Amino acid sequence: MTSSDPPVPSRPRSATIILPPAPPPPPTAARAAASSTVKPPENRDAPAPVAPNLAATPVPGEPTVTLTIDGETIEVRKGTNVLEAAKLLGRDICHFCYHPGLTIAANCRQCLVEVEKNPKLQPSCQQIVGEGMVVHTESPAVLEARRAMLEFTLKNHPIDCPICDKAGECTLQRHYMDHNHHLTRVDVAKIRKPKHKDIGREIVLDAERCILCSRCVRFCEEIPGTGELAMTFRGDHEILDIAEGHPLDNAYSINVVDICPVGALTSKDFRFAIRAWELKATPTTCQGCATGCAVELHHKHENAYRVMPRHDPAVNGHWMCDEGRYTYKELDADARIRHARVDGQQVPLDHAIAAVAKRLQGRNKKVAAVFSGTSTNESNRALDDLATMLGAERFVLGRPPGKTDELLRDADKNANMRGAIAAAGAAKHEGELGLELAGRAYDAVIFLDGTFELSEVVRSALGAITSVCLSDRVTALAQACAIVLPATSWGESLGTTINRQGRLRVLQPAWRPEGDRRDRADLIREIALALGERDLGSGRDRARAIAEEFDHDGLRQLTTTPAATRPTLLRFSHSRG
Amino acid sequence: MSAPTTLPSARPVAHTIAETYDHRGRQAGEMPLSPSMQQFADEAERLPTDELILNMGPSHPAMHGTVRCVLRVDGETIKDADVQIGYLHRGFEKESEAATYTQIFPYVDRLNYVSPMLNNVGFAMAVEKLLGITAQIPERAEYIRVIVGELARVADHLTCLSAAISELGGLTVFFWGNRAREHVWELLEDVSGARMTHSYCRIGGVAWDLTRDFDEKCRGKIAKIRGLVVDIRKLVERNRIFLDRMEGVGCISAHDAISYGFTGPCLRACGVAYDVRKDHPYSVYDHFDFDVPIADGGDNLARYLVRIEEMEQSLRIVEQALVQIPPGAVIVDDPLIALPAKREVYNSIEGMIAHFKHIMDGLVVPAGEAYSFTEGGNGELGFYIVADGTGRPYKNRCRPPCFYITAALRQMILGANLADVVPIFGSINMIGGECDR
Repeated sequence: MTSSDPPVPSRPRSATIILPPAPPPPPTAARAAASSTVKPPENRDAPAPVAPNLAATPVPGEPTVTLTIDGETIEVRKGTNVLEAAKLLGRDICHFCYHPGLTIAANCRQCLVEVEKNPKLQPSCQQIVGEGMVVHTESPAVLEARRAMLEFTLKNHPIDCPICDKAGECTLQRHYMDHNHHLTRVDVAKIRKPKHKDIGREIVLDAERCILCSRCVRFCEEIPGTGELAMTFRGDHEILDIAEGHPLDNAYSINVVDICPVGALTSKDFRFAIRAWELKATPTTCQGCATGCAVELHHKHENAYRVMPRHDPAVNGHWMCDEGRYTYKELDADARIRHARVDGQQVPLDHAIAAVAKRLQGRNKKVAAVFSGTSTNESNRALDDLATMLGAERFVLGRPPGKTDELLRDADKNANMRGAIAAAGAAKHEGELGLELAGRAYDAVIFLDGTFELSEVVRSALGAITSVCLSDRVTALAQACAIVLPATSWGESLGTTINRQGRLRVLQPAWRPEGDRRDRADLIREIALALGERDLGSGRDRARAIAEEFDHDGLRQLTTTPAATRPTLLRFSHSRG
Repeated sequence: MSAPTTLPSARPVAHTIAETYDHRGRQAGEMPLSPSMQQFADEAERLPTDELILNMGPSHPAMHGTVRCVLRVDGETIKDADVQIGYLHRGFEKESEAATYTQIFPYVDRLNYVSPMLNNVGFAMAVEKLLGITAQIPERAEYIRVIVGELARVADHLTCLSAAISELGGLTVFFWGNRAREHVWELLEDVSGARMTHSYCRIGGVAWDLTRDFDEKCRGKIAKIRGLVVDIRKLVERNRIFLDRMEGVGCISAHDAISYGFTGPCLRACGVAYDVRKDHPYSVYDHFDFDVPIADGGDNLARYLVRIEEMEQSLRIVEQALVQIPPGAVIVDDPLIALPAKREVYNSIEGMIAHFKHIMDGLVVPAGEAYSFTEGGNGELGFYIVADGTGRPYKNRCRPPCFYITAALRQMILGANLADVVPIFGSINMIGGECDR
């Protein structure tokens, strides 16, 4: 950073915490009698990464500045830059190196604008707004500068679009069509640079495609703070590179692929998997840990291909971790359970539901209901209702803890442990379940999810009793259970989770479930009906109730308007580089 | 219809079959009927003679393009008809909303599939109107559009006439007409690479220039087409069977035709001289000397005569266009509208990106709406496009000329004989792909 860079505006590091509603009082004596209970994790102060650039929207109580952009006068927050101010007016000043979540480099010179009383064009990303400033973003000088800069940028760019993973969502392609669209005047050979260089665990670099915007360099310095990437050499021989022996393998490395405006940095996982324009995007929530980052699931038909972060200033800012990106592999089509199984035989779903009801019925049956920190509030609440009907003992299980850091990764790898505990009330944990199952304390057990890693002792104990598992994919637990009901995965479910901050996070279905797969809450509703009990309502009904409870407009719309869940086809949506 | 058979008057008029003849043809009363014959005679007395519901189509060979007519007939006379369309509905308008403007050309080829070039031109002009580049289309492209469009009109009329006459038994006409049409298709294949579904137009012009020998070849083909049309006329126009089936059959008045929304040859056969090319000249049609033929009567024969004369007028236009056509570009010189040359695409990143964005995002049409209408093979072919500022239309409505003409089919066949349905239906040239979309 040079001394001409503006001071980074400070922002108080705090986050609004929305507490989940207090869990209802335990309705049964059994619940109250639970010996030891799992407590909800503490409300940790886990703010989202703070963006160094201020958004232009005025904030009540903060000073504002009034300026004129292309003849339109607008009041914006003091300290913001001209590029953000123009964004408020719906004017997207084209740029490569500026990123709202990173510091300003102003090296691509693509966002030059004319500021009156200023002899030279100014980079709008670096130009802090001033009172009474008059800016022109479409003047002849600006248009010519933009066109000329693009001509330079394209001078050494390889003719790679047909084999480039970024094609179709490439910022360079978009800006060329919008601001240059002239044919080349250059007839000398392009400069050759390293292609497909392996620079880390997740990333491959193509230095020829790089337009030297330095977004990735700044990301590595500022967000994970590891600083693996740097620019080397000068002029049109300048290349992006790593230091020998220091690969790019921090826990957030794939973010550089998202912010790369061209296809210079590509993800090994996504490389050549599918063309971006064939994908559809569904906004949803990452299921990798308790942070609950806002993400987009990219899929074609019923297959998921990648997870990308969505901007959510309150939770994850612009970023997400590499671990979370691989959660889409849980949605693997080959491992899906599409039909119900009873005692190893595939049966129609209604037969399986009838079998569950038959085996659970009985005056003195002792039942254990296992809630899941990896399932939605809707399914956990449905299980709570069923457990009340059956007088069942409650347990809450989840995935074992994993890696954590100060930024986004949480040690709790369950997306909804808070919600599950709130639904179950006072409940027991895994160790007790193992002991009690091994001691033949129960005649039947219902698992809300099949992902729990139970010990061999517990799994063998399941053979002697009625075991029911609602699972979306083939797991060791699902294989150990006598009855397996096909449930929907998070790629197909409408539901909610509660993250570590206590915020309600929404899961949106990306595709229709295959085969007999049903939402867990719907399966439990069927079981209750087969038991001759009252109608518990569908998962969608529960989601609607939760929308009212949390006063969540987005969820309300999803539950009432089927069209709201329709995914966006990336081909005709605006390129997002 | 033959005159009703009457029995010899010397005998008392018989009231039932049983009274008249037995199964050996002997007269009743000569000998007693056998029990089985008596039963037959009783049943015959109860034989229904009232109206009959008859299904024609959708798979009837003469119901072109799968149309179903449910007819109520009294003997041979049509008392009522229910014309049902939609068997060839493909959702053209809905499909358009998911395709870029350029990708819609193959879809419009399949509207009136006997004159796809005219659809190509009509659709391209609608998008150009939205883009506001109608005046910038290169002159040469306009002439090429006129040439291929008029050739397509000849193919359209030839298909209509030869199919209609073959259904009256004149199979030779079908062969000769198809031979003439083959000449048109050979020309269009030379130009576009495809015999029927050409997709030759582009927004802003045409895909590529005419072939080098097009002029010479076209003149040769025109002469051959003219010769075959003359042969067809000699064969049918003084033929009593043909005239009986055509003259005074399937009449519709000019008033009714206008009320139904008739355009094109079917309207001009009612004596109304409305032709979009003359009344609302588009493209370079005002550069040519041609007539709008009309006929009186609004019957099958009038429609036949109008189509025969229109072919001659189209060939006249083509001949004039071949003389007048200027050299030059065949598509607008605007990188945001026309695809870059392949040389640029494969050798420069600029050309590559432009090509990529054209194909993937489509050329961006500013938000707005436009209705553009041209003279198609069957009449006024209109496209009403609503653009939302993206590469795809928000709505693409097609006004298919034969839809309105097919609406009048019921009225035209009421009171006619059953056998007249085929020539009437044949003469209005209903094209399923266009009518049902």
